Amino acid sequence: MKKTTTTTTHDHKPVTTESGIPLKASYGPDDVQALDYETDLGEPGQGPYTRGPYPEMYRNRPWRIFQLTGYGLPEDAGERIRFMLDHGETGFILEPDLMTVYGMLDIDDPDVVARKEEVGLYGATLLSLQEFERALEGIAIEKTYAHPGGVTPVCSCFCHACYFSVAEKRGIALQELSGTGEADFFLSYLATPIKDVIPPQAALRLNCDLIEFCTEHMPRWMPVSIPGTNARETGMNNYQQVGIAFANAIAYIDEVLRRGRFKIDDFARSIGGFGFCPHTDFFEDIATYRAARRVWYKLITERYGAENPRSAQLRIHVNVGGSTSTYQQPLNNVVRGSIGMMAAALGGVQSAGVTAFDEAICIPSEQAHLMSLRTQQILQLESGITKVADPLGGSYFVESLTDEMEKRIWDYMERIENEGGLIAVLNSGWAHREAHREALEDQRKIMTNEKKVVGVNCHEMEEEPYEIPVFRAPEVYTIAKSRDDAVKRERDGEQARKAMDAFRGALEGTDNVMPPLMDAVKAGATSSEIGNLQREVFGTWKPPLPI
Amino acid sequence: MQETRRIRALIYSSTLEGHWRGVAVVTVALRDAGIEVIYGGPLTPEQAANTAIQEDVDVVGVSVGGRYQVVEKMLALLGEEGQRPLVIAGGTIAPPDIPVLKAMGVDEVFPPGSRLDAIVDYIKDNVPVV
Repeated sequence: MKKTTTTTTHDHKPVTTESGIPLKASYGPDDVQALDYETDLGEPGQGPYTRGPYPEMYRNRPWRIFQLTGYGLPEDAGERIRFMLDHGETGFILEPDLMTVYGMLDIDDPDVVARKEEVGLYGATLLSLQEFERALEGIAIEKTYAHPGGVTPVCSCFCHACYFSVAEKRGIALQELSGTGEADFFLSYLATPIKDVIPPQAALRLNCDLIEFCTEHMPRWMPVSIPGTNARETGMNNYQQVGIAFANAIAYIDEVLRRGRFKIDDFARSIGGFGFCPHTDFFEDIATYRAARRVWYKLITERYGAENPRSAQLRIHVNVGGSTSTYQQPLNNVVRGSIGMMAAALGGVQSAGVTAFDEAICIPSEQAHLMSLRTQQILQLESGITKVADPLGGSYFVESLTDEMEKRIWDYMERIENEGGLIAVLNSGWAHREAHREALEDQRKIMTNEKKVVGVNCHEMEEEPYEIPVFRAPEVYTIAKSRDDAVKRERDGEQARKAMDAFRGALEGTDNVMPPLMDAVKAGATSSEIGNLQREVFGTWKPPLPI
Repeated sequence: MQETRRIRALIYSSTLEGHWRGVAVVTVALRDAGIEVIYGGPLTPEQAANTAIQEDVDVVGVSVGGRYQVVEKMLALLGEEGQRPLVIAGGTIAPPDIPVLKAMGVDEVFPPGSRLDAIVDYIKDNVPVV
């Protein structure tokens, strides 16, 4: 029987995926004719890992429940983290304050003072090693997978140095720690470039120092993870977020190989953790993760000649897209979070955060945070979707879409390489224009009702049907400042100066910055002092925004 | 026929970090509607008020969320109510905070999910034609 091949609806509008891939009304054997099981799919746990990195997947490795947490003083963030861990979270993400740590700016900086009420609003004031100790009090870090802040390359080395130093002070060997860094280029240079950020080239240097440090000392630590998520949230579509994330990986790999200390199999695994972002296209999201694993496998084995199978095993963290949350009828976001998380699970991810349902309105309340946790637990324990690896493998539609995503990811990677690679597309503004164009197009679709958003452009209500409590993070500027002053006053000035000089020496030369940085934070160096030194040595960067 | 001056607007974000997707989308929508937009990026209350005064704008659009002292300060520096440009705010502004901002003197609030044409219409309806 002849199958239907229509790609339009009854009103002749083309039907496409979120990123513009034309869709037929149904799929059949003809659509997967070229698919070769061995080379294109393989068993779960076998190259090219399309079907997942592990043979039994969630049967014995449930995805990690890994929610973003942080506001107020370090002890406020610590309290929320302990609450989440007590209720079943299986790792934690400690979020640093946006201005004072994320930007590594002085708490007395005029631009910070002008907004002093916002200090601690979007992250905890982790300004020194002491403050990390306060945040981590009562948390067994030797047993808990963690992301200790360090979301941007500006602050990543500092946050890691503090976290590692907390471990050392507790007598925990560094090799026992497990967790992941982030040091994200897309936050720093694409999505939310902050004042006086060091240039991308300097970020690459620092990140590669951290990669080398962890490769040498910390087998269970992922020094960086690459969140295409933040490119996606700036506007980029699914294949663009994967393409630019892999371009980032290529930049790391080429730099570490250029330095010559490590071979690809020594460190590929430690940069093989990526963050992606389920959005509003269930099957395209699933296909994206399957395709990403296949591309990574080929990239690492064919281009870089990795031989250890673990090097080519891509692991994925997702954060369900915050930009898919709506302000209107906010409880609907619980459903959106569940759908996104389900796509992630069917796509075989290893770690996940579900955006809290109130995030379009405020910093997550305890109740909303708990709902993100429960959403994941219900999927893991009640839905049955964890019983079989890659349950959609072999679906005509999903396999066909996976193939198409793979092609588009490779094409996009090639376009970025033709533009000069990751650093070049951030410096030139090419990446910003790409994201901006997609963001405008997305907005146009919502405005013209081409893309439906319940509660926003359809099924709107005059009166909000759900009233949710608004969480208010405490105002902490005064306390944070007095603690910062106290650290500087009470430390051994001479020892701090010497440690900072050694750190400066590493920044100016080619020695790894991590050992002297750990000495510096132990001697009481604060985030802004580290940040100021980095700016002094590397200079600052102006974002090439297309507006 | 007398030529009418184009409406001029300053769009900026009050926070220091540079989230620009939302403000960029609004900026483009206003420009498409014939409004001349100065995109300020992240500005302090002083910088925003000074820019608005120097550029003689008809509208100030501020992206804000969670804390509003920065808007209150900007409004105070911008001049007396009735003497200052139209002030609109967008961003992650919780529903109970909308009346708070309006009491400060913000003329209208456009939270996430607001229609871009509603923002344009509001501006065109409320900026006096010169």
